[in-house]
Amino acid sequence: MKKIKSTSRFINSWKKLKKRKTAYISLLILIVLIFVAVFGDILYPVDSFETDTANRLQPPSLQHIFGTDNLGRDLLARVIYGSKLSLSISIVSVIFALIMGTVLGLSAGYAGGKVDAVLSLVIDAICAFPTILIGLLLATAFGSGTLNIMIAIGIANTPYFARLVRSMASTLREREYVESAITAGLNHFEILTRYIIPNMSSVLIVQISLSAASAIITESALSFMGVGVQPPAASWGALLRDGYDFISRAPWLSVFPGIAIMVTVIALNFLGDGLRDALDVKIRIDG
Amino acid sequence: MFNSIIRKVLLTIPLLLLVSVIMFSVINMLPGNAAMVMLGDLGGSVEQLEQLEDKLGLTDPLYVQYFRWLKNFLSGNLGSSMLTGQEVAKRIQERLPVTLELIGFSILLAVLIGIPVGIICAVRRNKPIDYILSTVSMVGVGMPQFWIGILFVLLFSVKLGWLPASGFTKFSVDAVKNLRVMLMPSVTLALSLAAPIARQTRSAILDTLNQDYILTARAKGQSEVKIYLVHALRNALVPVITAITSQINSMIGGVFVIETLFLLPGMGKSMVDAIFQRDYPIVMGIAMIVVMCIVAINLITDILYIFIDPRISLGKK
Repeated sequence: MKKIKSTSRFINSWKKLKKRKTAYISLLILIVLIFVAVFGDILYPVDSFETDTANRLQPPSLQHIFGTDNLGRDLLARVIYGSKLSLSISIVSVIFALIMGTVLGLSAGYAGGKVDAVLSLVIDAICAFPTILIGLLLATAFGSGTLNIMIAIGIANTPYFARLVRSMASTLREREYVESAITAGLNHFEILTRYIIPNMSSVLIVQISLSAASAIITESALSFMGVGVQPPAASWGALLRDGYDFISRAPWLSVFPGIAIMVTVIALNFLGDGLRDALDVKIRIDG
Repeated sequence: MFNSIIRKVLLTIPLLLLVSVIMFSVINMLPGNAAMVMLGDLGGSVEQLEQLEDKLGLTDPLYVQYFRWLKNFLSGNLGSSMLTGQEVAKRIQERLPVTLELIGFSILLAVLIGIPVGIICAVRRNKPIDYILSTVSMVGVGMPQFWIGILFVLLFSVKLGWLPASGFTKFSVDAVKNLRVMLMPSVTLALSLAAPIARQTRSAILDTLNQDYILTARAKGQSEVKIYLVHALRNALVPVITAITSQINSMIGGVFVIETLFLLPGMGKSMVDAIFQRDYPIVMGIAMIVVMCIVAINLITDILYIFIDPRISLGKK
């Protein structure tokens, strides 16, 4: 019974999402981007690390569609390699923020009282820092490396999930069905997993999509300032940093990685907006 | 009302204390310490390092170091740079005007761009121009700030040669040069603020257009221009101020990146440099000042809201 209901709800939302053209196209673009990131080596078998000093700073041509960088490396291959890093950093950091934020927010919102007061203060304290600053400090503290930058951006995004979950949890806690579940003798874990968390899922899905977009922007800004993934590996932001030194001789180095970031971020934002409508966030919370 | 204001003000004390504890802990997680940085170039021996660590009080337990820092901070002593020996307060005094100029110009430009765009979109709602401007702002939001900056440099410095990409000059030294250097960074920072301002203006004006007093104004035969500019826009001011203050945090974040990109000697660049040079007193000092500004701005906005709308009070959100 339960399963049928959730499937129909899923199909319903999917139909609504398909009707929103911008969101639907954005979803397709994101699927293509992820496909390219995963299978890039097969689709475009050019080594992104292979230097070719004879062909330094070549403008875009048939042989090198995006041109080459200061070491003669093919920029298209580097952008594809960068998509692996940028996308995976975004995805992992958002999953990290989602888990940490949900745990913190649930503890604060569901428990209420003193626990809520203390945790809310911690969340507010982290929110008082600009995201870039927290990312910058943590990335420097943890040391460079892909995993460290994922955690740094994840922590910087955690309070936003925590705030959202906290406010939803404190509202849902007052609902009749939760009260009746308490009366029926369910324990906290059962109430949280059966009633509270499922009712948050649509709001969280929208937030995941929007946070993934901001994580890509944060990562690129951090890489541009010189913390994060270390050379020769390069995310999109690092490609822009490397290219900035040659902006007058090789402007294409400053353009293509930026387009990659822009397309991804816009697609994620449109998808987030579309999901907000398709999942009809408010109705489900009330449901 | 009065109680909730006092409560809000008092709550900032534990908040700022917690912020300072977080900052202090993070800074102590950073690899390397002050003594190593100071001896860095001299390449001193292990004994020298230990002597210096002892002298700087770095061998004390962390909480002792923290309370020493807090005591100094509360008495107005932010410490001195480890590399140049310059007082942190002096450094901030030197760099703050650059950042304030950048932020001030950006907010001004953002308002000058955002409000007219919002009005146009509201007047021509659901017409092509509305869709075009909305799409442009969506695209703008999707572009990382520093990339917009790079594209400006590419266009206005490299291709057209109109504006310099770096080379800060003080306003008091050469006003024209100063404005030419500040123009691109300010516009870059302004664009990301203009989008939310335009969105807020549009929806606030559309909300007020359905109000009775607008109907009255129309019935009185007032011109459409007056209705939009006087009646509707005045009511749009609160949401616009909300849009600005809600962006303060990300705007200050943008300052770090923009100042690094355009090599502006402001607080952001100073902070980024200090992080890379492990110049902790500067990192700690600037971070605390920045966070205090953000908290203060949020507090002032909250209090203003209470005055504007007494129904809003603490704990009833």
